[in-house]
Amino acid sequence: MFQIPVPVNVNVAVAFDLARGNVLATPLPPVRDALHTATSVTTSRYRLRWNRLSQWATFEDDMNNYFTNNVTAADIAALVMNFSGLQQLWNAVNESHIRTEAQIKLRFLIYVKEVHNIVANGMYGAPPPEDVHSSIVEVDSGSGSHGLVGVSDFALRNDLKGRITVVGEVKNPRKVTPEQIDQVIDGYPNYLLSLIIKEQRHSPENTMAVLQSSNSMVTWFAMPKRLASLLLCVDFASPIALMALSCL
Amino acid sequence: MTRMFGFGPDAPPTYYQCRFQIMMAIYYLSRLAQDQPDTPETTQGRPGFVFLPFADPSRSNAAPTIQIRLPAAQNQQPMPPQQFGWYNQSTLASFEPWKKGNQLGFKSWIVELLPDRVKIVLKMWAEDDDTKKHNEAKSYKLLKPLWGTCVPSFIAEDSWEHSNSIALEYIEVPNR
Repeated sequence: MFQIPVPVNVNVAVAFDLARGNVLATPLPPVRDALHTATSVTTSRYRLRWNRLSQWATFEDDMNNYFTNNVTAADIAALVMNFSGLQQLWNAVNESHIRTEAQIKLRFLIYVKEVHNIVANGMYGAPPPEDVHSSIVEVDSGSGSHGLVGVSDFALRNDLKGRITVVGEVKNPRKVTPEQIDQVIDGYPNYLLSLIIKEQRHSPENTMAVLQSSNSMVTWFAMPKRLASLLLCVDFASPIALMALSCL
Repeated sequence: MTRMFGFGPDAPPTYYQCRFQIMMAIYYLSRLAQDQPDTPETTQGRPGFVFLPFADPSRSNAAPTIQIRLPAAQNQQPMPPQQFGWYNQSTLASFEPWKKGNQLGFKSWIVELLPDRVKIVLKMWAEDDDTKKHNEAKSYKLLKPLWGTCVPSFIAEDSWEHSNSIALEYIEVPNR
């Protein structure tokens, strides 16, 4: 008769050995670019064009100021997770083959979401930082999910207020290139990019619908409440690219 | 909107070099997002209200931009509420699903109609499949004799492709 092995008590306190700063400085794992089996064309009824868009030219300086002046040395040095845990998350993504945008999203949720929420939100027993961060949440079923009506790839959420602060889309970096982003910033209309931007602008909470009763139209509209839309073109292979969109 | 950053020494020159790692950038953004206030769409002082039109869900062509529309005619005489015909010319005053006071469960929100500022209930399904909407609308229509007494009055259902919402009478139930 097979003897059932003794189960492991995974709910025990663990001594962390990896500092927050080291985790944040770790590059994303690479993936392999497999034959793409699908194209991503957004046909959501919620997309809407931006009326105005300008460059966030100080992004890197702003980030530098934040880490220099706002993030404490204690937060950088705080031990937040185990090397083995980080390595397992990293290996779960490393060298995997990517064929579709959905597969990129899955890797994003496996690695970026998990690591971010450990480091920034104190998940799994990690000591949270002194400044409070929104957490990365998965968005799935729309109206019951975080009060959203539409469905985005992920979102950032103010857990204290239960309020979504950013909606995010994960894009294939081989289809969204730096040149195309430059064209948008420089004022050249680009069909592909304008589609993506519309998708971001009309975030799920900016929802509207048109109802019809008998022969008259009843119009519904909603005020958007977004701080910013974040478009992450996460290329897990080198180079890793990030593009941030600021909502005006 | 930023240029597209490349992280790491192997990034081609078409990417803009950034000395931070992507996880640091996300860490910064999640902090930035946390305390930012709402940024509602406004008419920027112009009369009227902001209208967010639907994009065509069956095509990937250019989506519309927001529009500023004039308010509904103020001299319209509303019909008695029991007939609900006056809803036909109404527009939504504000739909703010993020406010807890407007939330009625996972799919329903309180909204107001202009010009009379009457509260109604908007029930919305996120899925493209409109089966649930049609089933619910059909059920309410079958219960029409009970509208306003045992069940809320059914006001409208949307007729847009891929859109799944209905509007119902709002009934305030006092706390006991």
